[in-house]
Amino acid sequence: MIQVGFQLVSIDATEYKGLGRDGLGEIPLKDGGTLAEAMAMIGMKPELGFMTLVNGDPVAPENRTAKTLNDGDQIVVFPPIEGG
Amino acid sequence: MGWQGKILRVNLSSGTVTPEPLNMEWAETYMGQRGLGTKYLSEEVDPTVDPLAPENKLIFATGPLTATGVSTGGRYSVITKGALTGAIACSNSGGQFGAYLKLAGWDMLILEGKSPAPVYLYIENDDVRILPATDFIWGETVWDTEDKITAKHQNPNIKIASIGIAGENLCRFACVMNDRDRAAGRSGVGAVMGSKNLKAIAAYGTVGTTVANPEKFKEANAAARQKLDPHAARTRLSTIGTHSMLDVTNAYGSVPTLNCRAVQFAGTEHINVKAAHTPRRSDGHKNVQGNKACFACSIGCGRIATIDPEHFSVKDKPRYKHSLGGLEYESIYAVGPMCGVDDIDAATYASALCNEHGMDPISFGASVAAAMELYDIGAISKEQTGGMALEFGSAEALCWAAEVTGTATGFGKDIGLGAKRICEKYGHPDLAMTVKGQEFPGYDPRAMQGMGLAYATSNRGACHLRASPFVDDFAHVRTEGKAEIVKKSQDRNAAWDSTGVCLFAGNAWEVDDLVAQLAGALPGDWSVDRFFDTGERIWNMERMFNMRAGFTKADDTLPKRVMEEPAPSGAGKGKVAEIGKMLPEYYELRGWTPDGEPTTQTLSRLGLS
Repeated sequence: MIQVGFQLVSIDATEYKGLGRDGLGEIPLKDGGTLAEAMAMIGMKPELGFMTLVNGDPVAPENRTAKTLNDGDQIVVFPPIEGG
Repeated sequence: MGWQGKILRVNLSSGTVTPEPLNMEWAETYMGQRGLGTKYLSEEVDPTVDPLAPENKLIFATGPLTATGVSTGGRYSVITKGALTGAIACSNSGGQFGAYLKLAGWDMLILEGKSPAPVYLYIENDDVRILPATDFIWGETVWDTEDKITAKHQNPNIKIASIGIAGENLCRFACVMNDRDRAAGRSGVGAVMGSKNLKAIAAYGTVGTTVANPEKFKEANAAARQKLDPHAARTRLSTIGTHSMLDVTNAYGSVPTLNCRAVQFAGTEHINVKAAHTPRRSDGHKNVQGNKACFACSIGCGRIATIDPEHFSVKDKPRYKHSLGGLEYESIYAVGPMCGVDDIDAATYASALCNEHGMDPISFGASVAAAMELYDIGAISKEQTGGMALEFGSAEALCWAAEVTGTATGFGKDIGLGAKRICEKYGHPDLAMTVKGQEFPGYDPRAMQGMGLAYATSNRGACHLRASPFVDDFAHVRTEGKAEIVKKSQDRNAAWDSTGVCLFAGNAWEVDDLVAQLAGALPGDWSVDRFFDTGERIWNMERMFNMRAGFTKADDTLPKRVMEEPAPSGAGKGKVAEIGKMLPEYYELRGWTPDGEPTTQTLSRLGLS
């Protein structure tokens, strides 16, 4: 098993499992687990279209099932926000 | 039906007011607001005119869906040749004013010439008067102007668009303000209004609006509401506002910081949404007090805020100890990270002064950031600033800058020139983070390559609302595919901005949802294809205005800094903005020559020959 960190940005963290109210937390993941699997573990559905960074690098939605995570990887998730 | 069919031509030189029928052929071809206003301007104004000369015209245009009951359908635009850029200017605002102008029976106002003395325009349905502003509201702030006009005419429901002291003094990034803190903000449209000695337009209307097919319209309207109201984006905009973008761009590494020396800001946690929603020690209140909505809006993205009553900026200033318009993403980016300021109360104060004096907070903040860098490298000193240490990160300097720029006092006159002109004046033009003279909004184009292309090709200069490459930019730091995304969304937004509906509704609606409502409101057949064709026509018309004004391919570029200095951190670390890789494909998709000129075939296809 490995541990990966989550940071939810501008997302209500109370809707997801295993993280603090501040959107921060670590979850266990099987060796060789993917970003898509990590997101599923906290209850994030792919169709919500969230954007993701792993260790600061963007990972597009279509690449999440192939993105293998390593122990200590840091995942940032934010909404598909536009404008301002 | 949709359109009122009437425009009002006001000659300020002669003091005459003339109603005219709306050119319905143009209305059906350019819809309204941005498209129709630009058509009238293109036909009536020589693009080479000095923006501040009486020969320039100032057009206030509503859309065919303004005040019809479509959700967020209360928008109007101010169209002119921009004082900041010398390019086509079209600044879009919400609030209540646009709807009331339409409810008074007018699709559009065309303001010509220059009044020999300061005046304001009073409109109550067909009763239109040019009234003196001297010894009444000239020299007053936006807020006091609204209060005085409302009191004089004894009508609490009158809605007012006005300029502040910045506009009177021809600050190059002066806004037209309405409803206290809503703004037709960009490109210096307020300076053009000031150049005409026109202080305000007050509108009250009881004429109402009609639609072509009420049943069809009602059905489409209800379906769109059912889609918008429960949508996650609507909830997010309502609860945490556009301010929430700051955490996103900071995490991604695309928040312009310290005049684009950096792309992430260490002080973000002190000025972000969480900070705005955390009770203060001094009085137990939060910065954010609540939200508010514009006419017919079911989103309500506007913030209401208070400043810490013990903060230095409001000491002995009871005027600012009440609820004020709060921080939006663009304002907090500009007066926060761009200037290196991590003081949320100073940011709220500076933003409030932008509203009060009628300045675009984006251009204001980015111009202050440019001046701070000039100070940092020794190009200016306390000799020019009158003793103020204009240092990056100084909340005191930011608040001072808002006061002196808003009132055109001392060095504030230099800041009011805008970043391009102040950097040229002090010998460092490369330090201006501008495109076509207009300052960057809150997205660094090194991590967001699509936004870089959007800035470079925007007809009104650097702008985050002329295209929508956000989703792809937040997924891929690359140049591939951006040209098509930018081109298509530019056409979409040009048409959307011509309807009278807010772009934010597009967070929930597809184009089909808006077109269904247009099809109910307007005569004729409206389809998604016609919508995009109209947007492309408007985009090319704006481009042709700029070309006739003297702009060329050389102006479709970005500041040297973002094209040569790699991003120091974030998703775009090590990358520069690669406009040269995207521009040829963009021109080709547009049907333009390699020099960026629309071909005769393209113009013919769009009916612009």
